[in-house]
Amino acid sequence: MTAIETENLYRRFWRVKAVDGIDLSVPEGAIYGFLGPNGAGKTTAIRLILGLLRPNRGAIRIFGEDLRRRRSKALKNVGVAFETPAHYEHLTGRENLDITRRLLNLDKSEIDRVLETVELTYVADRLVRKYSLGMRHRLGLARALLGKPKLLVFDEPTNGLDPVGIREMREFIKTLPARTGATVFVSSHHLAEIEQIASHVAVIHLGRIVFQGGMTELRSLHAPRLEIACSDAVAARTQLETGVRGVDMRGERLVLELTSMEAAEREAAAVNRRLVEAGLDVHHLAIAPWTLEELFMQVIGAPATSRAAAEGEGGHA
Amino acid sequence: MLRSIEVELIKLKRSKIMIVFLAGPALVALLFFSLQASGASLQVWPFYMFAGFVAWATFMLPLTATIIATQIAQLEHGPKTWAHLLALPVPKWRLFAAKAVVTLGLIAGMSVLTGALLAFGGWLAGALDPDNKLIDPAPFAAMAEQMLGDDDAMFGDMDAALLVKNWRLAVAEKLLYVYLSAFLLIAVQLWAAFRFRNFLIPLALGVGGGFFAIFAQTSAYGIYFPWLLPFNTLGFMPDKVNAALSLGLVGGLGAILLMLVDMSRMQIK
Repeated sequence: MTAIETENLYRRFWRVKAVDGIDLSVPEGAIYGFLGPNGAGKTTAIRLILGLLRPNRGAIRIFGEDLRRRRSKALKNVGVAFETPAHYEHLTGRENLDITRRLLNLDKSEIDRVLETVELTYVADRLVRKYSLGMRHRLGLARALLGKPKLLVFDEPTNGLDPVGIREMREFIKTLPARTGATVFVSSHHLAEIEQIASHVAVIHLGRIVFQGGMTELRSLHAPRLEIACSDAVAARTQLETGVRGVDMRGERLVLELTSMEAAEREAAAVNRRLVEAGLDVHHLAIAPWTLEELFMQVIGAPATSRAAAEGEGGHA
Repeated sequence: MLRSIEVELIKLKRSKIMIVFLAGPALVALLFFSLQASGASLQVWPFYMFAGFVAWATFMLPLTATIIATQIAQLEHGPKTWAHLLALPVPKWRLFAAKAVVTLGLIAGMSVLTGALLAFGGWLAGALDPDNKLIDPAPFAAMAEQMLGDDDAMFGDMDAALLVKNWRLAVAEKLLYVYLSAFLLIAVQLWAAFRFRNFLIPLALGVGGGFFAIFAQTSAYGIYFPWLLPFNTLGFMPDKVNAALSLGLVGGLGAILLMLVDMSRMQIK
C-alpha cells in the first residue's frame, strides 16, 4: 500500500500555479525526500496533503483513505513537524505535549515515551520560551511521534539548526523507519541531507514533479564519472581521447564519463591499464557518482554548479 | 468535545487572560466600592447593584469580551500553532467550538465574579463606615406597594412590591440577562479574532462597537446594535428587554454556528 498518493493535485493562488497537477506516490516504509528550490511548491503540497489547504482539483489518499471525504480517518496515522517549530511558549514542554495527547485521546505514558525518544526528559517541565531552537525542533518531533503514527511528515526539519543539530536530526530521521516502522516524508532544499537519508525522492520545480523514484533510479539517470590524477595529465588526455567518451580536464585532474554504474569498475580498470601501459604513473583513480545536487540541477534543467565543475578549468574535450 | 475544552483550559495556564478575568470585575467593584465608601451613597442594595451592572454591561463587559476573545485566538495566531492544531485528526469545528465554549464560560465566570465582588464592595463600605451601609429594601415591600399603588409604570409589567421583596432574585436575573444578551457581541468578537491574525482588527472592532453604542442608544435601530444589547436588558420595559435578550442569545448562538461553519473551512496558506 502507498502511504501517500496524490492524483493530479492542483492548487493555484490567484494566477500563480503553486502546485500544478502533481501525482505523488510514497511507498510505505520509505524515507521519501521531497526536494525543490524555494518557491517550488513544497510547502503548498505538504499543506494540501495535510488538509490545511483545499486543492482546486485532484485527490489525496493517505493509506488509501480519501482526505476530502474522510479527513479525520486519513490523518489518524499522521504525525507532523513543521519547518518552524510552533509551540505554546507560556507552557512547559510536557504541557505542550499533553495538549496533543488529549486531543488524540492517548495514554498519559505516551508523553514520557516521546520525551525519552527525543531526549528532552530533562527539560520537560521547563517553559518552552526558555528552550533553544534545537530543543524546540526536538519537541516538535516528540509531538509528531505521539501515538506512534504510521506516517511522519517533516517540513524542512533542519532549518535553522547548527551543524550538530543537523547531524542529530539526520541520524534521528534515518533510524525512524527501522525503529518505528513509520514512513517518513521529508521536504528539504538541503540536498546533502536528503542524499544521506532518503530511499526515494521526488523533485518539484515550478509546481510540477520533474522526477520521482528511488535514489538508485535517480542516480542511474546519469552514469558515474572517473577522476584520474597522474604524472602527465595532458599525455593521459591524449591517450584517453580515443575510445573513451567525454574527457574533461579539471586542473591537474581528468574527469571521464563512464557508461554505467554496473560497468564502472571494469571501465576504470581498463583506463588504468591503458595509462600504465603508456608509461604514466597513476596516483589517483576514483569512481565519482553524481551528487544529488548535480542530479537535481540536471532534472530541473538548471546549469550545474557542482564542486567538481567549479574546481575545473577545462570544458568537455 | 470535552477533551477539546480541557485542552483550551490548559492553554489558559499562565496566560494574560486570567488577569483580564479578574481585573474586569474587580475594577467595576472597586469603582462602586469607592463611590459607596466616599459617601456618594446609593443607599439601597438593588440600586447599588444595578448601577454596578450598568457599568459592567455598557463598558467593562464589551471591553473584556473583546480582550478575551482576541487573546483566545492569539494563543494560536501568536505562536502560529493553527497549522499543527488543524492538521490533527480532530474535526475542525470542534476545535473552534471548544474555544467558543471556553470564552463564553470565562465571561459567565466574570459576570458571577462581578456580582459577587460588587456585593462584597457594598458590604465592605458599610462595614468600614456604618453611615455608608446599604439598606436591604425587602422589609419595605409593603410600604412600596402602598406608595406606588397601581402606578408601576417605571417597572413595566412587573409588580413593584414583589420586585422590592425579591430584589436579590431580580438582581441575579438581570445579571443573567446581561450575560445571555452578550452572546452576539462575543460571537462577533470571536469570529473577527479567529479570522484576522492581526489582533488590532478585533480590538478596533470591540472598542469601536463600544464607542458607537453610546450613539446607538439614541437611534431607533439601536436596539439591534450588538454592543448595546446587554445594557438594554437592564431596563424594565419587557418588550425592550425581551428583544435584547432574544437577539443577543438567539442571534449569538446563530452567529456561533455560522462562525463554526466558516472557520471549519479555514485554510493555512
